[in-house]
Amino acid sequence: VTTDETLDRLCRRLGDAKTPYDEISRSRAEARLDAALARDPSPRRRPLGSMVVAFLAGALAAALVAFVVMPRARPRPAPPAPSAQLDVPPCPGRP
Amino acid sequence: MVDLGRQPMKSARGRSRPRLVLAANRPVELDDDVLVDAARAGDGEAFSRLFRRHADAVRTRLTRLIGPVPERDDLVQNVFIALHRALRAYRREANVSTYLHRIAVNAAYDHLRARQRQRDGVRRRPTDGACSLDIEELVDGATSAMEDQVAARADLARLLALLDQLSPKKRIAFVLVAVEGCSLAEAASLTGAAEDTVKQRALHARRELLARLAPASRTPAKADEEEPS
Repeated sequence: VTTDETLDRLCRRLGDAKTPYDEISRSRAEARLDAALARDPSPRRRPLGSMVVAFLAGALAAALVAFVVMPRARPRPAPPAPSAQLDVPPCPGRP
Repeated sequence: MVDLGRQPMKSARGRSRPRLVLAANRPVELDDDVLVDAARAGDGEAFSRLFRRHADAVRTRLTRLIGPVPERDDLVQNVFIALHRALRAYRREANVSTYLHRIAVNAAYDHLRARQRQRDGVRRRPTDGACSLDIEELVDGATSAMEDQVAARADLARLLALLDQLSPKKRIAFVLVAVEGCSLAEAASLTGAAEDTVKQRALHARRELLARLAPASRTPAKADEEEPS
């Protein structure tokens, strides 16, 4: 018997195995599932209120960033360098 | 709301309304899609019917994929909870059974990954981290002879021990194709991988299994001694 044939035989054994629930374990599993679903009705569907709150919180955060954080972080224009030449107006009596 | 074959409601005059053609005590065989629509609308009985219809097949598939481990029933429950959550997003691209088995294959993969990590944590010893298997459940004790049962038990224990040494992806591809006889297209649909990928995984798995089976089938005692400690 080659290893190929042995492996095929082993695979057939596992393929033939069927493991349905017996009546007791099926009803127990069903009851457990019902209880689990009652705790977790449909978590994917968010209630409208929480979606509105999430949207408003997001909008508030965006406004905060746009009007408070960004202007502070923006580089300010450098002050003009002091002029070395003094612009003194000429005295009226001097040439 | 879909009528699921429960007791017919009594009208005000006391006569039962003829809502169903079939007898009230006999469960009506409804299409999966009808049950899905009813379950989406919040009908718990419809979802229970889906469970009763598909639970055995899901459990059997999980048994073949991960072995007869005690966590199977928890996984079956998780699969149906995941189906319940996904009903709203279900677009009928595949039928419910395929969709359900896709969830089951993903659950099996996650379980095998977790088991592999757990085993890696205990330094890859084949005996450490091995899960307890209920092989008795896999053997048909009612119809087969005692000798056949003993041989089947030994074969199953041997194959499950070999499968435990494969990576989860290879194991799933091999079980779907070689054990369950799925076509490459079916296996690809269930795993979400390309057909060529599934084919390669199944081939590699077969090669690995044959390589491990060859020395074990010649001298099983020696093979045990040569195992790295």
